[in-house]
Amino acid sequence: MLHPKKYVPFLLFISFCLFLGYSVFIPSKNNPKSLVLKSVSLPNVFGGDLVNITSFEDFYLIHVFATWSPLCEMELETIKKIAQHKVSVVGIAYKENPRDVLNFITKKGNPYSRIGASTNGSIGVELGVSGPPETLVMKQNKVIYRFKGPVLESDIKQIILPLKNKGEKA
Amino acid sequence: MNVFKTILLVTLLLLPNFSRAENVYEEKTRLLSQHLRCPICNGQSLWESQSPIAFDIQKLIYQKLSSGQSEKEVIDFLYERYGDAILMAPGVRKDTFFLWMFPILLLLGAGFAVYIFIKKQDKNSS
Repeated sequence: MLHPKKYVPFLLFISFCLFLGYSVFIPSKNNPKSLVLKSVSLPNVFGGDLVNITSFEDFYLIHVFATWSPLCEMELETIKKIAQHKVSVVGIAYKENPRDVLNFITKKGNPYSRIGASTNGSIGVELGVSGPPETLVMKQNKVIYRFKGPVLESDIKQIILPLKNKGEKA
Repeated sequence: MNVFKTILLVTLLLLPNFSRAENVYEEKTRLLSQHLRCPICNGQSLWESQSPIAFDIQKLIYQKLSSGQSEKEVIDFLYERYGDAILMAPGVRKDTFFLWMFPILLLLGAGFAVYIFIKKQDKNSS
C-alpha cells in the first residue's frame, strides 16, 4: 500500500490544476460595472440631423462596427437575425467614412434601426469599446452585457433573448 | 572676441532647454498611462502600447486632465467603462485577495518544504 506521503503532493498538484482550470473554463462575467449612458448623439450616416444613439427603446443593442473589419462583415448576417427577433440594433460606424458605410449597407442590406458615424472613433472610449466589432446590450440606457468581438448565432438564444425576456418580467 | 564667441556658443547650446515648453498635463498623462493597461494588448500599459485604442484613451486622458479633472476622476471614468482590465494593479478586494496572497503563500509553502527537507537530511546524516 502507498504511504500517504507519497500521494499527498500529487493530490495537491491535481487540486491546484483543477483550481486553475476552473478559472479558465468558467467564463468570467465581462460586465464589470454597469455603465449608464447619458444621451449620445452622432452624425447620421444617411445625412441630415444628428442621430440619437441612446434613449432609444427599453431594450436595444448598440453595435460598434466598421466595414474595414472582416469580422464585422461576417457578423452582419447575425445582426440581421437579431433584428428579426424584434430587437432594435443601433449601429455605430467606427473610424470610417460614412460613404463607405452607405455602400456597405446598400450592397449587403441594413439591419440597423439607426446608424451614427464616429469618424475619429472618439465615441469608442466613451462607450468603453476597445475595437470593432463590439456589441453592447442596453436596458434602460444601462450597459447590461458586452460582446467583445463578434456576436455568434448561438448567443442570440443563449444570451440576448434571455436578457430581453428577463427585463420584461421585472 | 573669444569671450563673445564662448558666450554665444553656450547660449545657443542652452537654448533648447529654455525653449522646451514643459507641458504639465503631458507629463501627467504619461505617468497616468503608465499605470493603466491597454484593453487589447494584455500586459502592456497604455503608454507602451501602439494600438489605436491606447492612443485614443491617452488623448482622452490628456483632454480630461487639461480641462481640470483630477486623476481620480479620470481613472473612475475609465474604470466604469473598461473595468479591472484597465488597471495595471487592481485593488485588493474580496475576490482578488487570493490572487494577491498567492505569491506569499507560495513562498511560505516552498520555504516550509525546504525546511522539512533540510531537517530530514540533518537527521539522516547524524
